Amino acid sequence: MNRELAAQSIGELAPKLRDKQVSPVELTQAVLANIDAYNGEINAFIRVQKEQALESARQAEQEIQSGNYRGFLHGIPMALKDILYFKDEPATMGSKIHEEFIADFDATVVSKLKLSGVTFHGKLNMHEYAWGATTTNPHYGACKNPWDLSKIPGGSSGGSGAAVAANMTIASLGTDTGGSIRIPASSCGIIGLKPTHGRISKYGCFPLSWSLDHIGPMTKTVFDAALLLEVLGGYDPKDPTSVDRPTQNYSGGLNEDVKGLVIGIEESYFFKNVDTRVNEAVQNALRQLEKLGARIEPVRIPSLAQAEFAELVTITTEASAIHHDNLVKQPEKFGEDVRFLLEVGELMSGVDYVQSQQIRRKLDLEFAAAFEKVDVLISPTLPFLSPPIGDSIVDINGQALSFLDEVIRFTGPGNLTGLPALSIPCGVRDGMPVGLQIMGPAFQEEKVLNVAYALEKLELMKGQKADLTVIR
Amino acid sequence: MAQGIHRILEERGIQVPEAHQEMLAQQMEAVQQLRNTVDNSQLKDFDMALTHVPGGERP
Repeated sequence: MNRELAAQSIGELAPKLRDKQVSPVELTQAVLANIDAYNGEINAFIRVQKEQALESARQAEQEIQSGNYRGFLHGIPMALKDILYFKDEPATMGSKIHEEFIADFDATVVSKLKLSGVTFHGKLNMHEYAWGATTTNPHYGACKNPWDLSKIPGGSSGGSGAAVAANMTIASLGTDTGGSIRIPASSCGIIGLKPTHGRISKYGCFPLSWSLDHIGPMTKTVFDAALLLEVLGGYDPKDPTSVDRPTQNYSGGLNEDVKGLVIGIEESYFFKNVDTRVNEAVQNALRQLEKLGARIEPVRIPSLAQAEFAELVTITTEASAIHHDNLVKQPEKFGEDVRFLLEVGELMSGVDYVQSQQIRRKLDLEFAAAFEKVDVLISPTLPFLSPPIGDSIVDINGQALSFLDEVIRFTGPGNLTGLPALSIPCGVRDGMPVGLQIMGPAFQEEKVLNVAYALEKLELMKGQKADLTVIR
Repeated sequence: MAQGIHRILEERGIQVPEAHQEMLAQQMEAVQQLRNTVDNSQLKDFDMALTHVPGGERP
């Protein structure tokens, strides 16, 4: 069997599947073989569904053979974060409390992928209830980073990040409330796209914080992220936060030309207290974009100084409202860290919450004003390199800082404002990938994707990937 | 502060492990520091902009 197949992207595999050069069964077997080889160490999966996947692959093969090719995703194996509902299948949300929960409908994103002919082969590990960024799950075991098994893969969609990076799935989906797509994407050296709030339906996704939650693609390439966005985007009356705005042919419209592009840099917030290795990689990427004809323009967004307060209050309060009954009735079933955060959310005041929403409004207007002057904003995705599993303190240039406070410092504003944001790897430092974040104006994901596409073409990673030969 | 926090949570029916009491006090001190970054006079013109769809979502 050719396990190398599983290292390819959707963009590479789809034409081969369409032209019958590769069979969906052969591809699914390659992905499953990688799971057999690596998942014992990485622990990216809560559940592997081998038989179901092979049956689905056989069906895709039959359809393609008989001339009924459905499009780019037909016969592509995908595993999704275990927070998205599949009809009549368990969805644990990475929790003990929902261990036996069986969904009775498909999430909208799952329906769309099923219609596109995706082959599903498992459910991915995550931080319990998506309420954290380490994926050190007390119930299903810690997920490890394929780049270094002693490090976290980030979270909460850590299983998605690790599975894509270790070729145990061709692509995946994550959810993002404070950075949970972009953080593992940065930590695992892959692409993670959080679209504009309302662009992709959240119907059938267990909530963490209604007003901050997003679903988005986690992929090997920018093309794959663009492709998944055009399949998954669109208005859904079942999601009250869905927005009726036209989507585009994002993958077909990708354009690497950045000549004349204006890149905004908010130095006082997004470049403050950044690990020098991370900063150096991001500055290098910016210089490369300048060489291609982009222009750097400093911007000021003063309300970012209050973003941490607004993010902390909004996420803790909404999450604690969602989990209140279980916190009262069966608190011992939560992991220690999640239980603690749920207690914190119970202590916020109504005034804190309303002020946080006012701050969000102010941020919306300040970001909109910034995007009148610049096309995109660029920053590091994380201020540090992925830390060891179990560490609650991160070292940033000799300063010991709280992991929880630092981890969402640069990603949280994208959730507060709902603006599209993408993390793309821009280099490797001390053996770990560095992520660069691109933010764009509301519902203009194409701008973010085009800049990412230009960066991808620069090959800043120099072909470096997680070394899977050391994992056994 | 730890005792006050314990009492508030207990009144809401939430049992707080002993190990969490001091941690919660520290966390709420950190929250208070963040509260101090908020200048309410700068916010008074901003609608909180929560939106509801009268009549529910589109059928």
